[in-house]
Amino acid sequence: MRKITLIITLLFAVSVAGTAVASPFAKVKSCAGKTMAEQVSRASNTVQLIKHVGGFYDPSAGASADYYFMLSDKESATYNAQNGISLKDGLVLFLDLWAGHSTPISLPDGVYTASEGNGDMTYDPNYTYLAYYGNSGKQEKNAFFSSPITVSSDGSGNYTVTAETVWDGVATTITYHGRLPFEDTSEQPSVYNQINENLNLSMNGALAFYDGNLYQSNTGAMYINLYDHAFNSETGGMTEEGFSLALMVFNKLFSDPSEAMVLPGTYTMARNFNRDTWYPGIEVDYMGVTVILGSYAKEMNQTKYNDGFGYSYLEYGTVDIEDAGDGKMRITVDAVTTHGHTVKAVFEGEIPVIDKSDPNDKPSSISTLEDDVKLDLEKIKTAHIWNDGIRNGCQAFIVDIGSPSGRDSELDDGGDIIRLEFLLEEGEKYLKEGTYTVMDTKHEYSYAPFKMMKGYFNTNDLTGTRYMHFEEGRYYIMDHYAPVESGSVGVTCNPDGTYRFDIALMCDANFHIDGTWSGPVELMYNPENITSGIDGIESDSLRLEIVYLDKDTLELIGAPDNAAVSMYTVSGSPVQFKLEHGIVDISNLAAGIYIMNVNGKSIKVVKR
Amino acid sequence: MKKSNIISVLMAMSILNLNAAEEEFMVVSLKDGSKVEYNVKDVSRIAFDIRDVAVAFSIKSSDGETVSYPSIPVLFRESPTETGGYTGFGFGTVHSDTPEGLASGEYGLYLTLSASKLYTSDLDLANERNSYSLQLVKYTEGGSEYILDNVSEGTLTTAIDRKSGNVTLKIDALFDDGTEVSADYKGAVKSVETLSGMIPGIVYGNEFFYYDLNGNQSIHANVESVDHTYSSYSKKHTFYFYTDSQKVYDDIKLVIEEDLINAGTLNLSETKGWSFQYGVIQLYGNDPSDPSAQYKNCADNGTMKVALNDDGTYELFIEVQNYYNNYMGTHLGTPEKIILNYVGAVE
Repeated sequence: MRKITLIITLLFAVSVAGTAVASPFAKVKSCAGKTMAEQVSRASNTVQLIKHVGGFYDPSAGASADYYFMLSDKESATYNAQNGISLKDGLVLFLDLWAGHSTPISLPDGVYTASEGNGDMTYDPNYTYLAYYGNSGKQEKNAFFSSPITVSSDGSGNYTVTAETVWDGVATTITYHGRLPFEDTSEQPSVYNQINENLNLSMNGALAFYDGNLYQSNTGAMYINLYDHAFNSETGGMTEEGFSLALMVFNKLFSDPSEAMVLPGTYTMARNFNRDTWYPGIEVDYMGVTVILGSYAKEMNQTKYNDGFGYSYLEYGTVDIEDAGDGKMRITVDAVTTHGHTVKAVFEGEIPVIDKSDPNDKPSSISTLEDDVKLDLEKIKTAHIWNDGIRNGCQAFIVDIGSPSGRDSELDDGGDIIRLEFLLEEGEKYLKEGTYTVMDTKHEYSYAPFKMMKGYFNTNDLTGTRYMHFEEGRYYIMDHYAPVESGSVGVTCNPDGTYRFDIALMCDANFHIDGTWSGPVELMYNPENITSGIDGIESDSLRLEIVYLDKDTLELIGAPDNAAVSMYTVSGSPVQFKLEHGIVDISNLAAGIYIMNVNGKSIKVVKR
Repeated sequence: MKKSNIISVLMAMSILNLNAAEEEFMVVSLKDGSKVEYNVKDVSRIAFDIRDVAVAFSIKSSDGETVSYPSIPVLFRESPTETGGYTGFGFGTVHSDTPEGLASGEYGLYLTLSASKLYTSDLDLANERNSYSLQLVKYTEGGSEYILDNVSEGTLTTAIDRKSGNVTLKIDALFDDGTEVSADYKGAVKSVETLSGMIPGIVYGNEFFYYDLNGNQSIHANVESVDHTYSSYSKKHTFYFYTDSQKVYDDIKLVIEEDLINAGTLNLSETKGWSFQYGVIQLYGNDPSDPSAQYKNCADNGTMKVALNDDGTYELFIEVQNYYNNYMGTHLGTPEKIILNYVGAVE
């Protein structure tokens, strides 16, 4: 049925075309300047195809795999799934070959015979035909095949395909010599045209765009565009045919975006937006449109590509950026694309940077940092740990690695110090091993064991988890400080009784504060004085008793009717509640531990 | 009277008596409003069979009522104009040569799909929202009765046979109002430049809609009457709208200058000589010649139409969001939205 339908359709097409369309084949001689119709000759019996228009490998079609591809005698022929072939005045050979599965995909050599059974080494005569596209861009003439089709390869990726058919009563041999790439239909194809060849580029122009903290990675995103031809110096658009290279790199987040510049370094491929990395090229959907993100090579060629552009997405490799002096940078790219081709490029010259960052993206901050900090804590011999009491039901410990008040003489000529404030279970007597994470918020519900306090100002001091730097060569002149906003610290108790702190924090201006310190920690409190917290509150002589009626309601027994009753958080802040005839409504309180004071006597209240 | 004539009249009366004899009919009323009648004396047996019927397109509303169609008569496709652009598919419940013609049916479905997801693996409609859009249109005479476009979950599959060009399209979608849509098509596509014509404007009755700060439709009321006053001094018409909703506490008032009547559908951001008020929403047309215009909330969006018909009735329509410009800046305000439509007499 399929064949009959197709043949009827094609016959109709031929009849519509009428006899005015003559054989499109050319003699083996120059025919430049002539239309396809003018090239017709009854004596012609060979056609040389020169372009691979498209190829699809379907491994799920059956016991054999389907190798379906299209070849043309015109470089201008293109194919896409929406509209099929795009070609005027040219030939396309459609080949529907069936053979064994292959990995990597490669069409097996051999002789393919006509068969509708789709078995190994056959071609489907229903879908294998030669077609002529007229000046209207529509198929006007075609011919099917019945003779064997021969495929051979030279081992280096080049194939020779030979087929024979009869066109206008003349036996005609069609040949193609070249590459036969296939897209695997079981995998997602590329939306944009692919360059599909190795590139070795020598670039002579550059323009970079700084996007700032575009991906909320707290690193500076930058597109470095390199060109081997003229380009628009404002938009970066290609203005003439050639190649360009877009490198999406991540490095320092500039506190002043207008000072953004390309920074030297060896950038490696990563998808985490970290410093000194470049992002691989991918196609992503945004608002219904498929766009290219990451690093890629781009070729502008109106003849080669139906929309004028081809791409190669860089998948892995390195991007080296060196300072070449005199304001110039030297960039060396050595990468491999998603299709397995290599892209090598070199550039040396100035790279203007245009700031495209969002001016509203910069958070208001207390931090005075202008760059990431690699902590230098080596000269601090001993850290000190303090019991900071109970905070919202958690035992708090402050670790000072370096003192701001002159306790550590080794800091007399300046350097880094850091304070870490840890939270543990109420009643814990010592700092425990583990990974502590900075609280998400400052609200009471964020307090929990193995959390860390953010940095904050108390009455007159920056405390909590915070960083400070004292100017080198001077005596305790602080020139930088930064409250910590996020991150984590790993605490390890070494076998010799010392501690190790692996610090990976970030200040409120989104700069990293990273480093390690290991050494003895002096206890600045008496562990025996740490009781089980609220349980240690003296019991009352009024025989106060609390009965929990439900999680929001409790009954206060033993209190006089006119008793003065108040309630506080464990940090001493008064809270509101309702008391009526001994029934206490605490539905408005967040879960946690509170202290109820009745006529000067205290009792613990737990809101679950 | 001749004898022959008398006989004719008697025969006619006899026939009349025969026609008036009672017979029992079984009348089946169909959902489309038509009826099918059977003379009971001709009916030998009635049976209700449950059969598997091919369903290519079905819509199950949130109240559980299902309508289904055995085939999708035509599938339209709009191709992207640029590489990377989306591809659109549209179909309905009737055959048509144009997307506009689908509006003569009951439902239409308009799908856009990104280039990267076109003819590839299944799409998770809940988690890949950047890759598609889906609109279910319920048609009514002269336009759309409603349009659903917020999908909660579902799957979408598209495939193409590169040799024949035939397209496979399967959709199972649940919209946020509980409506379920299922469609299954395999066959040829009809290429068109645009599918926009398959989504005509919504036809409103005498209705008032208020969408709150979160974009939720929190008030839907019927407009029961409209009072009209005209100031010969200011040459302005004022319309007061009254609804049947207890939720509508505030006056709904539209004031327009004479020349805006029968001026067609107006772009409010480019039209002066009007104001609209509903509660704290007070919007004005921007009149550059008015020195106090900068202190007014001049709408930067919306449309309005005021028509006076030959029979004295009015057609009043306004759709606007509470976004405006004034001396404090541009695009100030809130996302609150009003849609107001009334056709009829005014007092």
